[in-house]
Amino acid sequence: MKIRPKLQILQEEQIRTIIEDAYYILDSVGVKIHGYPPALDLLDAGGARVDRDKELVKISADLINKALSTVPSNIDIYDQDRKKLLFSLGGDNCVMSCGGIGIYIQDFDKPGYRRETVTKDQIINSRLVEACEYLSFSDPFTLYDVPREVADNYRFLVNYLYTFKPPIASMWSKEGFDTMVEMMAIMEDGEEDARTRYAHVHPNDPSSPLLWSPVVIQNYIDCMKVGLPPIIICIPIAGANSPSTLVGTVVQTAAENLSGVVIGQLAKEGGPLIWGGGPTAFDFRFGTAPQSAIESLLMMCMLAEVGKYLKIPVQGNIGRTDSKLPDIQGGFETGIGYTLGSLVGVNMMRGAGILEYASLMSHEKLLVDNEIAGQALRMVKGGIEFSEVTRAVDVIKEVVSKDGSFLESKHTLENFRKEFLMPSEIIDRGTRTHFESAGYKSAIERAHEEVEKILAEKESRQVPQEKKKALIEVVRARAKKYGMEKLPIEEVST
Amino acid sequence: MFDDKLVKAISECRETEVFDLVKDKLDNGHSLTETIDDLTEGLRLLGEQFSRGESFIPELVYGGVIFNKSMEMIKPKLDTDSRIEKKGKILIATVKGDMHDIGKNLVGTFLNFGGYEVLDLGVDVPNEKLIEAIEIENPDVVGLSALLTTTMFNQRDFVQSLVDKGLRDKIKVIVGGPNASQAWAEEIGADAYGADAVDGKNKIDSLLGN
Repeated sequence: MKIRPKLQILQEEQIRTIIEDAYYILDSVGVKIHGYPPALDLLDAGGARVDRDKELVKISADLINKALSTVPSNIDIYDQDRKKLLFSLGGDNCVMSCGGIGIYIQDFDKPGYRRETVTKDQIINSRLVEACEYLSFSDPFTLYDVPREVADNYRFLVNYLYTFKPPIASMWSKEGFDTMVEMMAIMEDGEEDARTRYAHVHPNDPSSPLLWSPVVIQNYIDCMKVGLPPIIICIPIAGANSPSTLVGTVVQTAAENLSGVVIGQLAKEGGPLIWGGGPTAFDFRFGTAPQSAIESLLMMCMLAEVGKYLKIPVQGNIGRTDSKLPDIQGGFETGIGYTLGSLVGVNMMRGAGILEYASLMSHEKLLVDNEIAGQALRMVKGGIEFSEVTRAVDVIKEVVSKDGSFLESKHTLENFRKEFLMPSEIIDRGTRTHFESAGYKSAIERAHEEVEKILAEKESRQVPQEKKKALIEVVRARAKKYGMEKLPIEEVST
Repeated sequence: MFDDKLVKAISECRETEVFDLVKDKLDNGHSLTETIDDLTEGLRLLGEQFSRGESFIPELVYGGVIFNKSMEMIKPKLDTDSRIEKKGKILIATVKGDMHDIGKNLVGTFLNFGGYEVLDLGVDVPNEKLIEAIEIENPDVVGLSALLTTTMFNQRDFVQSLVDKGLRDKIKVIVGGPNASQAWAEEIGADAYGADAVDGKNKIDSLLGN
């Protein structure tokens, strides 16, 4: 029998109370849907009470229940060529993803400084993500060496070319979304059922409190219609745009997410979606929104518990750090996040490698976080085998009574690999002699060596040439409209 | 001489006590200027407490709310508003398509505390509305916030609108938001970039030579 360590923050009765509160809010207060009338049409036709002048939609319990009855509880995620099933989001399964959404990068030789991210940074990041055993999703940055209007498609393109791991990717306009669908079609090879083998997920961030802005709601509905699992990620900041109480913020976010469930199921009944969230603490001294404060993590875990109770795959902005450096704060914040999230069973934790309120990426931190992810997953996926063999009474008896050695026992040989995770060289468990002879290096210095090693030794999986050419052409055509004739990626030889 | 009781009450956000004291002063014909000075001194103390890490943003914001409500009680008795000296007039807004206002509101709070008159046009504000407000209100600075990568282009369009309308030289522009940067401000021809609320207020001080 395998034990899966588990943490339950909210009792079932408390989860039900939160859901009842969220139902009440949607029925009595409603949700605003701004600037996109087709969404109001959709909700009106679906039975919601729509006030078009106020752009306000009130949703009854019956409508929510109907939507909940058709949401899939699991989403199978495939490799980018849609051939290989990688994992399933749902139940208590946990995966970690690159933190992504970076707009700045920190170079190893300039700790503390940041610069805007460009193509070469994305290539490195995608190659590293491809090499990270415990990171399941890639998550491309904003790239500043192309016109900003096409940066959404462009980052998607660069990432496509250097990792086969499914990306988390949002688009910033209807034009960007449509171009992405064209790119997906190229990758799908014209196979009819390819679209149902989901190979990326798409964050959509409603604004708190209870508001969908025009581009977000349009993209969200389009995602549902074309069969691209959207993640509903509300990021309320407790005390600023949600209540200053942790549970109050979870109630509000649950209502926001439920509005997404209803809209999503009206757009495509039975279509997959992800109950995400990034409820965040508010630092009342600096006006910042620390994503790795313990209160942020508690809110995200509680929100995930609500989603799990409703049997929807859940995501959380977990594993990040708010430090400006990949330092000790970075390590402990990611460590606590992954530990809590894994124990609660958050299906998808989006955070590796990202610092400073989800804006700054560090290649070295990404590799350290891969190690932390490995240990958190060891805890919940590996679990603890509880059996006659692992209790090992006979072995203890035999070894002790014969003055023998556990190292020499067959029981050790047969079990040690199953019981213990071997971390990479980034984690220091060596002797002092080893440490001294290696040059007294810190974890982040060892991670930097690993970055260089991966880039020197590991070859990226390559998208076939004709597909690569077609993908580049699609994005280049869009870039031309904004004055760029040749994409920076076309200058890169490998 | 300040009325310590009123100064302390507002600096500690004791709303009812502040209103009672202000009402009492108004009923007894106390000097309006002195009452306003007391309230302003209370806010200044609150700002100092914030700088020392003894008070926090919600208290700062609520202190501003109490101050404004008190001023609503006082204003009907004032001859004109022009008696209240301000360091400048700042128009703030979140760009069209963007509904996020936390950062913008904080900038407004810090500007209020810094002695500026703040006109907040709210969220999802089209450039035409901004231009219209500029023509009517004649502010010294426009502060434009955009949280989303999708909406920050409207900051650039706004600066272009100012140029097109021949207003660019008459007004300073500061931009903010997580995706904005000094480089972005320079690229779009804004005068400054505010990294956060305090930085925004400081940059406006510099722009206006305060």
